[in-house]
Amino acid sequence: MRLLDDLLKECDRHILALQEAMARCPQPLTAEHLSTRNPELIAALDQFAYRFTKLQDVISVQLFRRFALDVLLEPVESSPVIDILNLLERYHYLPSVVRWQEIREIRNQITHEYSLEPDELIVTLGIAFTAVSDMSDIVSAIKNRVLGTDRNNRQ
Amino acid sequence: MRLTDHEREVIREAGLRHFGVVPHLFGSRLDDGARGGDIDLFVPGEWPVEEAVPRRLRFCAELRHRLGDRKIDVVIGGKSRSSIRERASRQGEAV
Repeated sequence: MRLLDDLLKECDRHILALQEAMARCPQPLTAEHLSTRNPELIAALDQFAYRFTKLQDVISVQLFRRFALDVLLEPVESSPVIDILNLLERYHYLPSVVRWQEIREIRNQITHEYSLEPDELIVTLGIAFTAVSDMSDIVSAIKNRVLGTDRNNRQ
Repeated sequence: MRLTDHEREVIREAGLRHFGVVPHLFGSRLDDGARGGDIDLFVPGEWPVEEAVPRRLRFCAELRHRLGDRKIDVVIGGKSRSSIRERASRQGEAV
């Protein structure tokens, strides 16, 4: 399993790439923008979907478990992901497990964007843009605890 | 209909909470002779897309939370026609 520091650096890289991709999208994004098939916009949206998926995956599958093991000292080596999510919610590092599952659904939707109508894709992307700051806040809270700057007594 | 009583209860409750209607099941899970397969659900109605998308996300998140990590596809009824909506609406049976 990878080191916590390495996982946090990977999260930072994905967050930066997501912010860069969002900055390259017109705001608000509309179905008319999509219909132009502008190559720059398509590249930005592809980058967004790819990095969103990578970030959600690395947090869910690796970062949460590594953090729970190394910092919270919880024996979660072989625990199912849902148990780790519930644990992090109890420690207040995850605002809500259901919200995290919602972000997972956003990831699934934008990964299969070909199955969405253009207007559905626009609304989904708008929600996904807001979910980036949710994921960024979660990573920051974990990073603050790792760096010892977390002044809230979350335990 | 290949759903357990618990699955049906969870889907009905979540459907009523998020959409105010009982979702319909369509696809391979209607076939009692088949095995496995995704859970394909259809939410009847004419939902504007701005409401349909966030409600579907919350509905799917709740189902995943309460039923575990499994493949669930949800089609929401809308004003525009599509082949999947027509199939779901034609085949679907209330859960």
